[in-house]
Amino acid sequence: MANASSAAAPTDQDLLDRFDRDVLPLLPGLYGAALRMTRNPADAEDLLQEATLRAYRGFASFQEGTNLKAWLYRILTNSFINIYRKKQREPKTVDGPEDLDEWFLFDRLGSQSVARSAEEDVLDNIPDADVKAALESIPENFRMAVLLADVEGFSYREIAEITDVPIGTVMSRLHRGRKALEKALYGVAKERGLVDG
Amino acid sequence: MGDMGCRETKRELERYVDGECLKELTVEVEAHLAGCTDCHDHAEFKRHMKLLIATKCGGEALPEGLAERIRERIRSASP
Repeated sequence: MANASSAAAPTDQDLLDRFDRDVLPLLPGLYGAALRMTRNPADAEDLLQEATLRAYRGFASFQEGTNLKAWLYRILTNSFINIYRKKQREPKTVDGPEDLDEWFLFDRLGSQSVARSAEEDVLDNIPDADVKAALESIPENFRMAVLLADVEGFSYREIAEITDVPIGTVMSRLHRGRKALEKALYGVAKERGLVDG
Repeated sequence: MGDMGCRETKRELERYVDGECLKELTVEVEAHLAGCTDCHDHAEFKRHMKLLIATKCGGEALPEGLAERIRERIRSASP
C-alpha cells in the first residue's frame, strides 16, 4: 500500500525503531513501577506487556518532543486501573493515617536519643525487600503518588497528569502516603530489633 | 528575610524537599534552615527518607527475556 502520498506517515519499521530507541531504555523503570502496583512479578510482566502494546498502538499519534516518560507512566497507570483494580478489589477507603503525628518517624527515632548518623542507620539497615513491602502495604492511591514522586522523580504536575487528579490531590496523597510509609517502616524496624519498643 | 517561624517552615518542608516550593518561599525556607538546627534536622530527615525510598524501591532489573517478549508482541501486533 506504500505510495508517494503516504511517505510522510511513519512506517511500522519507523515506529519499531523509535520504540527501540525511546521506550526500551525506560522499560526497567516501568517494570519496577508495575511490580510495586501489582505486587507480584507475573502480574507485573502482564501489565507491562499490555501497557507497552497500548503505547505502541498510540505511538504514531504521540508527539515527539513531548513528555514520553510521563505519557508511558500514564498508560501504565491506566492499564493497571483497567485490568487489576477490578480484580484485586482492594478497599478504596482504608483507615487513613490522618490521625498520625506529623513527624511520626522523626520523633520516634529522635527519641532514641541517638546521634543523627545512627538515627539514619536504623533506616539504612532495613533491607530493601522490607522497604518495598512497606511501600506495597500502603493504600494504592498513596502508593502510586510516593512511587511516582520518590522512585521515578516526577514533579507534582506530572503526577497530576499521570494519575488524572488535581495537584492538590497529589500533594495530599503524597503527604498521607509518606506518613503511612513511615508508620510501616517503623513497624519493620521494631520487628527487626533495629529500635527499642 | 528570615520571617518564617519553625511552624511555617516545617509545614513547607515536604514541598521544599520535593523541589516544589516557589522561588521566594524557597529563599525564605533556606534562610530559616540556615539558622535553625531543629528545622534543618527535620529537613534532612525528609531528604533522607526520600533518598531511602528511591534507592531501596528503585533499580529493578528487567526479567530475563522480557524486553524481547515485548518486542515480539509488538512486532506481531498490527498497529
